[in-house]
Amino acid sequence: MSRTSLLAAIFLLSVMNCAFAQMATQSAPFNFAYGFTGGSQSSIDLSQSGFVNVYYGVQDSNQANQAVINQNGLNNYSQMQQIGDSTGVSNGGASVRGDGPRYGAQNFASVTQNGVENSSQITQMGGTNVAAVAQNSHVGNGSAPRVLVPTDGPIYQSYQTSEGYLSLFATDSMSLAIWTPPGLTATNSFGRMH
Amino acid sequence: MSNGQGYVKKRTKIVVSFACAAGMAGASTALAQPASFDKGVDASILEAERAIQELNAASKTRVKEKRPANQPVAKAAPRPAFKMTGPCNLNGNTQFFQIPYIGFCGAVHGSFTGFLGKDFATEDIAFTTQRLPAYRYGWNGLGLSAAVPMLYYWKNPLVSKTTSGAYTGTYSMVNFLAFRNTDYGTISVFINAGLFARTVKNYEGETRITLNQLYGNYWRGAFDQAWVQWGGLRVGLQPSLFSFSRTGYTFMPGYASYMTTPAVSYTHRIENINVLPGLLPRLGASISVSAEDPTLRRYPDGVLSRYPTGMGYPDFVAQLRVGAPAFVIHASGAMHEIRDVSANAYNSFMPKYSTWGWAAQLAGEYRWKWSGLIGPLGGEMYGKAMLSATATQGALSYLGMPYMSIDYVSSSTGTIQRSSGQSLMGSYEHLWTPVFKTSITGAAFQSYMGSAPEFLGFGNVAFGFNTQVRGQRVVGNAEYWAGEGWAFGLEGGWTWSQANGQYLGGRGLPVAVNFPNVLTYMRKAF
Repeated sequence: MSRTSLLAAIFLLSVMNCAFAQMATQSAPFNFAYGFTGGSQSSIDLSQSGFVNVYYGVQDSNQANQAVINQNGLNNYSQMQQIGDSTGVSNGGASVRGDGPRYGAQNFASVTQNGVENSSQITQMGGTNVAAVAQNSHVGNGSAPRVLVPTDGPIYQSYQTSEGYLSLFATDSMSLAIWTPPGLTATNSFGRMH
Repeated sequence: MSNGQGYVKKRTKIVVSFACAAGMAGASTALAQPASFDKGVDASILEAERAIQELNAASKTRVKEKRPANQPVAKAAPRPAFKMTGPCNLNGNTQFFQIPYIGFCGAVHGSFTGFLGKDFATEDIAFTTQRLPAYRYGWNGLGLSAAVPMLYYWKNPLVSKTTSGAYTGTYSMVNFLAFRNTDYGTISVFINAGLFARTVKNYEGETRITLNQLYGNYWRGAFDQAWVQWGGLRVGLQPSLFSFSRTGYTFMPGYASYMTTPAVSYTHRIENINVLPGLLPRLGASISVSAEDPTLRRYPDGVLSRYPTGMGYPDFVAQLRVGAPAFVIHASGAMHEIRDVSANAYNSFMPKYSTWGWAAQLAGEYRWKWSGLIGPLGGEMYGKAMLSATATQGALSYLGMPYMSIDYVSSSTGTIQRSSGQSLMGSYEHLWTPVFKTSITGAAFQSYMGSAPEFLGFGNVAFGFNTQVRGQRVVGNAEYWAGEGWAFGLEGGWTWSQANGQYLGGRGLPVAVNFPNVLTYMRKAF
């Protein structure tokens, strides 16, 4: 593991009690970062460029959790948990911030992965949860094989529940997953009628 | 299917070919325009409607005269000047009658058309638009709002539910024309109204009967044209000046716009332009301008593009036509106001921007008798061909394409990025005998919709899209006129469409569909 990645991993492990963003750039062949953040607000801004990029983070702030993850490599893995509060009452989930006032928190997660194999998992438990994942299988000059290639054109699926709306779209070079709460869901469809 | 349909005015565009009416009413020389139609949201439905009407009007004249009225020979007689030889006798035409007390002459025509068709589409391209949540400033400071525009394209298999089985419908109409000469010019009134209905199926496969609507009203939808004209000034529901005479000679139209619209228009005619009289005898021209209803020309989706209620500025349209008995050349242009309220609808802090879209068209038609080209081998056969090319930015309705694109995309801050597109249509009709003809139409269109990349949060990747839509169509038709006003037709077509997009700089997979359709119809003119 390179010195750069080690430094990044070390400071991301620290517990934050302030609102400024924690930014890190990793450019070693293999990059790993783990973060556990809390306090009133937490913000992670991580950029990884290497053959293998891994990010795992837990954010548990009582007002807002934000994570922006960019991964460029052959194998990218990202897993994060943004907890916060949905009701103002402790839900007994993982917490790193200790006691104090609890509010409906805003969780925002954005993951961009460019690689042959991309994996992302996001868990959010807050008052307002927004997550976006963009995965692009293009690498270099196109010499690397693609993965997750749909064979029948673009795929679009949507799911609506009382808790929100999930929109999934995938082509051969990218996939996009958008979770939106009811108040922030704006969609429509059109096309030729028969 | 689409909430955005509420922003798009549905209507049928059927125009009656009434050569005498158009001539007397001051249409340009070439210009006694036959019927056609236009596309709206329900493109396929409208295409069928307009095509039926197209043939209805054209063959009605033919059946009556037992000769190809729209196929003039190279030395065809000029259209007779308007001259009254009796109280309501138009150059020997006895179809007009005297209307008591008001001094008008009137004429009534009508027709009944029934059709039966089958659409073999089992899937089609659908588009879903979304505004991705992103942090933007609002009245309460920085916060999340539905902001960044995104568009997905995909295959919709539910279309098979709507195309299962056959569909049927009817177009029964009455046309009324009245005119009176005065010392200050001819006053004319024209009304075309009728019953326009067909069966459709929803996504559950349930059959419904639909009636034509305009502005959500059935009674308005029963009127295709209703106008009053004095000299060159025409007011009322009338054909758009942007449109050429028709959208091909087949039942299903090519990709070219033809519609009627509430408008105020003025036409100045120039008779007998003395340019190369030996080569171009009886050359005439007309220059026209109009203010037309913009709401019928709007292609929004409601999320990425949304017009406010109300009209705003009308569409300003200009037209130039030059014609002789054997040909017509048409050039037209339109300006279409874009006023966006979609970004403001999701974040009231954002301004409402407006701009202008435009459209331009070049078209022409040429008619000939084959014996004039190839000698006796041509016999009594006639031919005519037409071609039109249209380009637009921000006014996609003028392309005559299906509802597969929107006029523009507004960013999270309300700035407008206009869509663009082009369409091309060519058609040929061959009259084998005075009672039998065949025709073929080929057409293509393409359009581009896109958004400038925008950030969802702070420092992450910018999300944007650029989507191209293309379509092609080939249609063949055969029609037989049995006499006594009866006509029978059979048609088959093939439609191909494709969408492709780019996201985050990466290429997306194209999605394409194609499907045939067949249709038969019968018509009785009276």
